[in-house]
Amino acid sequence: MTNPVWTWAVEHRLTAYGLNKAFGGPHSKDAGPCWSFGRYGRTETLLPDGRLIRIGGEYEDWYDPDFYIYNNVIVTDAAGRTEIFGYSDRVFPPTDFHTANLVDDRIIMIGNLSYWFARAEKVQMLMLDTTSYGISRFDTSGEAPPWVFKHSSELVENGRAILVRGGLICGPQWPVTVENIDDWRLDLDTGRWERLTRRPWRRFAFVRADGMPNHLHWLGRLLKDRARAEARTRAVFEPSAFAISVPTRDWICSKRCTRPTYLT
Amino acid sequence: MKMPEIVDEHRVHRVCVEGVTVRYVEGRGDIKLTVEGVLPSQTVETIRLDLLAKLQAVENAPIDCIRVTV
Repeated sequence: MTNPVWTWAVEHRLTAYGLNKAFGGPHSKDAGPCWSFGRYGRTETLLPDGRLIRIGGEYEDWYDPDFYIYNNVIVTDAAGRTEIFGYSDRVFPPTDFHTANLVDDRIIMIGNLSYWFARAEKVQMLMLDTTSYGISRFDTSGEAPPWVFKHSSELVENGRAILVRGGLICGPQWPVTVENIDDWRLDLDTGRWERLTRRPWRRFAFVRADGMPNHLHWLGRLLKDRARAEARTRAVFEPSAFAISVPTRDWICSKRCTRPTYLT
Repeated sequence: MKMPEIVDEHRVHRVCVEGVTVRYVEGRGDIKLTVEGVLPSQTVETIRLDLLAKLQAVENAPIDCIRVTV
């Protein structure tokens, strides 16, 4: 899939917004998401020969017209040459917030956030061959973690196993995402998952029965603003404060206070 | 007992109950309650009901409480 436009975007580290702007392209609302090099949740793996392998990632959030989760691999060699490899969704589903561990000439990709409709019960396991750039499933057995993302994965036991910790987990039917509080070990020789911990922590999620977002963030902001305003009011109108300097309208406005409160 | 908040951690609050950390994480769509240890069931139920009652009062709406098990 290597082409001059995307290669140029890689070299200039452009986001979808920046790339579209550079070419004066149509609005993404009408034309669909523009390709982006700038992404969140992408992995970068440096190989011993100097190649840098960038895998997947996503740009912006669902509400942005350029939102897109990528299923491509960007390879930049030690000389700075870039190649971009694309795959069918079946071989390499859109993947973000995964981890990548280099094991010999393979990169083991563990986890994925992805689109909500693409999530499965168990962790996504893929493998990238760094000689051919082919991607294949990494079949495992044992007790695998649920659909996990934003976790850490560490090569342990002299490269014979991977330890997965932290991050978030969710399932296709889960109403919320929850923290991964347990540790999981993947034996790379046998492909067998082992759940190392089963922490007996009681956990609950509270959601509005009508499915609406809650008001806690908004209320928190309101209370903070009020507390800040009260503190400023006290500081401004204390006799000692007047003795030093009387605040001007510009000063008051520059503090982003609520003007009606202070000027009346 | 309320525990100090951790820098760079937003909308996360902790209290200490009988030596066990109880963590509240605010999200836009949900609030998560985690008892990071073992407490008597009755104590956990008191903590759960306390949050449920407060949220219903703040939201003025029914709140569903889902037990998370993995």
